[in-house]
Amino acid sequence: MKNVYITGSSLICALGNNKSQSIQTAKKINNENYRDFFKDKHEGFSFFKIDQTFENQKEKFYTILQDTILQAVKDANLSKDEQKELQIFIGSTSMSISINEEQSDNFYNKKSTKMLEEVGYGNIGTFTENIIDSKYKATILQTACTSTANSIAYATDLIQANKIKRALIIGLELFNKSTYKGFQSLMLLSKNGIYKPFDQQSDGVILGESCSAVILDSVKKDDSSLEVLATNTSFDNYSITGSNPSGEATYNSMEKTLEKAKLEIKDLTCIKAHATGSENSNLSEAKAIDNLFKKYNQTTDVVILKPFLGHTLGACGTSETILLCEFIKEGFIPKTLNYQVGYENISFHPLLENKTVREVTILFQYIGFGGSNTTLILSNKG
Amino acid sequence: MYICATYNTTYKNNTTKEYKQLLKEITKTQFRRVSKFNIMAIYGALQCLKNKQYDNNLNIYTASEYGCITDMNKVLLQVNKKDEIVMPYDFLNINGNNVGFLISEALNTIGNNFYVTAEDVSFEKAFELAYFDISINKIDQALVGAVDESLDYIQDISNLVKNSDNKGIYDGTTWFHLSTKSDNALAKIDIVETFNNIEELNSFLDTLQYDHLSLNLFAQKALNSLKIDKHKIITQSEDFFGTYSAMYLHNLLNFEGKLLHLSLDEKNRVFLFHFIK
Repeated sequence: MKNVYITGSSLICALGNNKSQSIQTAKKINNENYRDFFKDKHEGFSFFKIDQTFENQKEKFYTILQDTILQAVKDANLSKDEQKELQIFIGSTSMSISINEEQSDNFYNKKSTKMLEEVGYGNIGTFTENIIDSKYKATILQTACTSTANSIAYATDLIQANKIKRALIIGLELFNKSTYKGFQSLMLLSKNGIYKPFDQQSDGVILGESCSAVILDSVKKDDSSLEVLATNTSFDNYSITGSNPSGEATYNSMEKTLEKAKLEIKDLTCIKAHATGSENSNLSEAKAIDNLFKKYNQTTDVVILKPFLGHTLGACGTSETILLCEFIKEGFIPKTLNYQVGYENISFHPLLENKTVREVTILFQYIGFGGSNTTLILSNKG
Repeated sequence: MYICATYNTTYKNNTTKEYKQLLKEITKTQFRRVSKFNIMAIYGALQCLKNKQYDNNLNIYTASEYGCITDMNKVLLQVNKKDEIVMPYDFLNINGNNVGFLISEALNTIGNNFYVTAEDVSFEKAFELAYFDISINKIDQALVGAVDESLDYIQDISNLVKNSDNKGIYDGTTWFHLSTKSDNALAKIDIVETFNNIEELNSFLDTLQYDHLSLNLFAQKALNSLKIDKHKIITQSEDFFGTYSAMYLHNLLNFEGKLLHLSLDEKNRVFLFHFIK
């Protein structure tokens, strides 16, 4: 079975228009300046926006997507021929619905004769194929907020089985009214603009725009390349929008992934929790982690990244993985922003001080609407 | 690996209410505020596994080219009105994120579920994914579906959908139950393979035996470039929907012997399915 490494990545988000800008911005954010940092990037206090201006939604969508792809390919230092071997996977909950929202508005306001700009989302794959001249048909996966994490897991399996040489996994989630108003009606959005998952005082989710990509390859680029040690997906048909309060599916997914990687909790540098900020999801996941620690009588640090990025939904599998990798390159894992009061009956609290690191093994947990759980373990200790 | 059950149905353009009525005939589970697309998917999946034995941890792979187009369009009208509220279930109905959950609820399964799209080869990609997951022993059973709605009410459709050859676009829901077990199997899945171009395919076809052959619309257009026995091509349904090639594959399984299906995409990349029945 082949090994699989992350050999390139890119990130465009509210923090910056590339990885370097994003990490430099992230390093400056603290509890005191948090609100000021994001005040110009809020959409109604509940959505962190990418800081770029475009004529229309179509231009925005495809320009950001193209930039993300080109940055990732450059980062992986792939030749034109190597790019052709990239199998493409795209994960998103909303895809390009923002383009159709604008087109529909123009149509009903008689500014355009076209009712919709696109039918289906396959053309996003074709656009991506054409940029890198990929030999393969792109695959678009939707599994809610685990869309890109599942894409990473699937691409890893294919490379390990020697079915493909390398893969480009793109996670994209750009502002759209449907998602924003949908989350609003589900009463999941924060009203005070301070994102504080795993905190008793959390008042909800802040969504975030992001387009990010990772390149997976069976050949290591350098010693800093993180290896995908194990992946796992598990499912819980408890509720279409809520998490099972027992946290069972999340617990099972983490435990199974550790087992596949032949690791114990004490071997982990940290767990990157999904930590959405909604009470139901937070409690379910916190309970799962707590139960895991109690069962094995071991603990590790728990890291939360959504206060930096907002919840980038289907894109969080790539955006949060990349952001944490960038922190690691800077030599530390970030403390939890805005955290004040933990839950009762939960014996751990998330990381409260920056932790200096060099070699790491990290468990990344992702959870989606509709009961999907995806766990990845990455390490640069090999 | 085997195909243990299949189901296919097409309708000109049923309403959600009509599908709910059909669904009532086969399940007592109530599906309220669920989109037409999701109801079509649940209906096809339940029909496929009706009176069949299946593992409760089977994975579900739902493919679609156009997605939840009817209900998405309703929400597009709402979101552009300033003070209009998008109801939670309307929001959940606009994309494919939740279809697998609803099917698993109807079937009472606990396996993973995925929604897959890849233009003309969305179904082929989903089938390939399921086949791969079974072949690496990740799962023992899978339910693979292709679901697409009629686009009758969408204006300017000929500019948006380029592969229909001006056929009327129907509602379609087609499902396959895949298993490692041969009990009561309809056919053995012999080969699932992809090729980057027609030349690669033709070399492979040199040694492949088949009694009956089905071709998707792009393969039919490339007929003269394919090294195939044209006399073995079966006559296919005139109905068309986004993921129609699933229906073609379903129809092929009505024949006996060695069965071959070829799907090409716009760039002549090939998906090959070979079955023994």
